[in-house]
Amino acid sequence: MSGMTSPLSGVSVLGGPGCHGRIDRADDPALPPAVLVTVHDDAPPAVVREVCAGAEEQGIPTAILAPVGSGGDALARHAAGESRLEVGVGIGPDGAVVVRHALVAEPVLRLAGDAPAGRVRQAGADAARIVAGLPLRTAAQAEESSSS
Amino acid sequence: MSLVDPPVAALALVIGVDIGNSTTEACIADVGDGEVGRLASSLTRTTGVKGTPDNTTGAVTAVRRALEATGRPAGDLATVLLNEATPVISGLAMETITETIITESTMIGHNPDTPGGDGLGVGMTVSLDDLTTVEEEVPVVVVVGAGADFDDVAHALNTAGERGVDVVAAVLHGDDAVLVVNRLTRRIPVVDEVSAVDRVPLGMLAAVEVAAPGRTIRTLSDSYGLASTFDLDAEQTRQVSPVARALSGNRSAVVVRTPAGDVTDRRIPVGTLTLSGAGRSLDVGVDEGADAIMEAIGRVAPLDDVHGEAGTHVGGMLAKVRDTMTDVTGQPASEIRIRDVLAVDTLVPAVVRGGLAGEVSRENAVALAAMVRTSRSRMQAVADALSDELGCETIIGGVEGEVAVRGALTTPGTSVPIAIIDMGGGSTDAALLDRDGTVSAVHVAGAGELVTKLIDSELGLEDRDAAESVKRHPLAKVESFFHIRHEDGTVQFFSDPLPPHVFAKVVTVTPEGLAAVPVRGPLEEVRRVRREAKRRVFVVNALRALAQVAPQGSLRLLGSVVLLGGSALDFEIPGMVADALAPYGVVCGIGNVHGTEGPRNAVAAGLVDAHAGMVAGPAPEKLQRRAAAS
Repeated sequence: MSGMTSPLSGVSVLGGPGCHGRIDRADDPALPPAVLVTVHDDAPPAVVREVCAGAEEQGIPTAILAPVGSGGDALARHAAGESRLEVGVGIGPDGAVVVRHALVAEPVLRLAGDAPAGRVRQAGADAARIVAGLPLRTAAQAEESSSS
Repeated sequence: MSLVDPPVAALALVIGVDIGNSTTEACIADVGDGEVGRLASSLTRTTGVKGTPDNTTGAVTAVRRALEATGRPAGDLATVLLNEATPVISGLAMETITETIITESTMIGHNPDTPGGDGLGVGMTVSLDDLTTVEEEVPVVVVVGAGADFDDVAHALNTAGERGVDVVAAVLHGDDAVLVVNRLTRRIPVVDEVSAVDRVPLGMLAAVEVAAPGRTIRTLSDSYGLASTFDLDAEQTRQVSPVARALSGNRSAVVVRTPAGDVTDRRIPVGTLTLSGAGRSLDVGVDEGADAIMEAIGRVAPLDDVHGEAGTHVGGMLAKVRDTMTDVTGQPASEIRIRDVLAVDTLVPAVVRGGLAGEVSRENAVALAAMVRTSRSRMQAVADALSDELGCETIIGGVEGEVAVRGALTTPGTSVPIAIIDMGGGSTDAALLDRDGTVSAVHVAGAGELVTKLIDSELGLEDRDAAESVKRHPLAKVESFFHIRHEDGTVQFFSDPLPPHVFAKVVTVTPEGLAAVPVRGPLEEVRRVRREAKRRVFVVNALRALAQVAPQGSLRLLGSVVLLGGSALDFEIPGMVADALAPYGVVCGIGNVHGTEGPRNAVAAGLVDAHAGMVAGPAPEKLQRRAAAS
């Protein structure tokens, strides 16, 4: 997988065919709009893979952005601010996942570092679903479990 | 109040209490020398079944609230006026009368959010594990079980392809069709989210079709498409045509050719209704649908009684209605007659039996509302209890329909002849006051509760509160974190971001905020279901009830129709009823009792007016002028 290159950015692909790989500048005009994922250097690769897979299944491209800050929320805030789609995901050193929208003060959703792979994939899918204007699956579940 | 002329005689504090099916309303006034000075009104939930001693608690609450509003002590109260309420008990039942059964797992027709690839692939079904042993150049449809990783699946399919195996399609358990297809060297149609993928028969010829986004499948949803795909003769084609019909409208589908596989639309026998009336008795099968039932009811009109078959939902509901009335009045069940039934055809989403992906099909169902009424009222017990509790005299007076018409007639702009439609929870009531002063009244089955039930089942909510919210409030679609689009297309912006759990959802716009409606379908679908449910109950019942009280049964001879009751406050029901009555030249509008009370309080205010000696009848102009002036 690491041997593949993206035809768009020419850098090594981390997140699979739906991911434009690691990019240095979010405002690169050659890069199509994408959900940006800011990954801490120590973040578990499996979490990154699941987040990107979740977005890819929804048909929304992702790109990995160099980390600024350390906590998942700060990373997500940076990613959302840089994303032309105004949606970003931060992955902290412990694998905690935060999904943010650039214009919304509070995180849209957050997962602890030990969340099961399925939930992480769903968080990635939900980041994409914000862009697509589709109801969020994680939020709906949280609502159901809190109301029951 | 401005309505009161300077007191010429001693004023007495009088309160009218109207115990209805769902609400108890009170209207308190100073009464003296034929003049009424209304002071306040109140509203509370009816306790127990209307017309039974259980009503006392609610009536006392209503009286105390009205007193509180006036600031007068309870000791000032001279008289409580009660309506002659007779118990009306209604019941609801629904029978699903068709079901779709898939035998031998012949087909999967569902719409996963994100199928992969597109086109049609036809080959032998083979499990992922057995893919390595498949011979070269054999077209195969790979069936992938739970827990498989998308990278592994894609790798296995690519490896098989390199070996010369003709992998034409795949069926997956998980939600990763796009992920798998993105990693394949050759693009094939892939259907995912097939929850019972382990029941897909292996070693059989199968076809997988995925349509491009925004399109529906063309080949597997067509009888001759299936015939070409599976090389069927005319007889076989006739046999598989139900499969084609079942699959139409889907974006993706799988059809497996098995020796005896079939898709059946079965009609479920759900018993018969025995209708008696007009000196004869008629049996009608519930599975014949609402039209047949209503037509049969029309043939035995006026209806004397209805019985259902034991062991069916409808039979159980009718028996329960009878039992409740027995409990309430002490009348033996044999003496209690079901006087009206409303049947409504409906479509309910039901999980397909034998389906592999939790497929849902819309099945026919019949919803039935039944109503029983008795003349045996126990209002005297309520009156005695009220007198004890409040320490004042309690008078029962006024036949319901008459008092309600009198109250409605205080609506500015009305005149005799006047008809009312009181749209409540369990029954819809109509009454007519004719020019000669006679009042005729009728109660028909089916009202707000039935609407809620229809909305609940048609949308597959299985959540009464959510259905009630859909019934009561307009819809909107949350289009971003900052704006919603109302069902009429207007956009509303919010400065504070909307919560994630309503994002992109269809919501009801309630006074407490936005509430997500747990449906997957578009807003238009929810709106259509809501309006259809209201039309099929309230519009149908308004016409049905009015026809029974109208002179010579002709709606054209009704002068004006005043809408009363809680449902007259609904945001669209009054308009729908008015539209339906417009062709008959009827003036129809929402009641505004005494020009101030809206559609509520007609009976309570009517009781007080009657007590004050105001004459109901053809000359209420004085009253109307007063109301308009206040």
